[in-house]
Amino acid sequence: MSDSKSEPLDLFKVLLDEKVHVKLRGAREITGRLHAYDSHCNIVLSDAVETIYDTDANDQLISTQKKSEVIFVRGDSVILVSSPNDV
Amino acid sequence: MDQVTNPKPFVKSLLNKRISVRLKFNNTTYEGLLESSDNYFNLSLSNVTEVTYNETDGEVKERVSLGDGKVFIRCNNVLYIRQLSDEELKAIQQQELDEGDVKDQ
Amino acid sequence: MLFLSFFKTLVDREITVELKNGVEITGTLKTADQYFNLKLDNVKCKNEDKFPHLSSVKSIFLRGSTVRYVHLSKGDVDTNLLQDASRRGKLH
Repeated sequence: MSDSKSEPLDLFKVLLDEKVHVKLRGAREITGRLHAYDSHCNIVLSDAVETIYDTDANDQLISTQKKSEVIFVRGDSVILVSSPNDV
Repeated sequence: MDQVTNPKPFVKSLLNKRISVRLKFNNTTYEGLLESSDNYFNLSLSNVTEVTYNETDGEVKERVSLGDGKVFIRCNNVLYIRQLSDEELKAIQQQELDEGDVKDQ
Repeated sequence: MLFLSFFKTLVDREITVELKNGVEITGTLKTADQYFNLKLDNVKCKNEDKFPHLSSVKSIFLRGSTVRYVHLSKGDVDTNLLQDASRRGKLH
């Protein structure tokens, strides 16, 4: 069975109300439930957890996490969007 | 004069092929099956592996599988898109088999 | 258009805007435009170390492109409405 011509943004439509994983500029990642999106990749997520990767004084990789009930993410920060794989 | 391949037909020709997408930064590449692209060259890939390279010597630092699901890549981050050659695909498969063997042992 | 309408529903609510330079500003949203430029009243900054100590500043205009996130609470949004709007005509 072949798909009719689909667009990359159709992925967002399928992922509405699902948990998504978003990679952002600045070594950041957010996972949350997708509620809204547009063609600029502006998105609204609920129950979001933002992970920020950084290095400490000894050049060790550290990560900090922040939670948000609802977060609007401006599209120009977005690198990629996928379904989270529970690794 | 030979026929010239313009960008859009080129990307169209890569549909359902395994490609490598290099980002402009983070020394990162995504290898996967090209599912779709749009007029802006936003991309949708499946069976994606994220490959990070060392800034120092350009060698592969890490390969992380992103699962079987689809991955959307925003167009502005893309530096280039290229098809993975048969040799490269074989090399990747071999590497995965080797890693599988090490894990089983 | 979708998100412009979304921001307009947030007028007169308190929101926290996180800028790309890490500054976090809390205030009451007064206006938003198509570029997501925002005007906030009753401004308080959440991380004073980064924000210039303009404690006398009450109102600000934020250029949309400098915004990284806008933090909200669940009561501020109707998630079902957002999902429906996203599902319907997407203007590419």
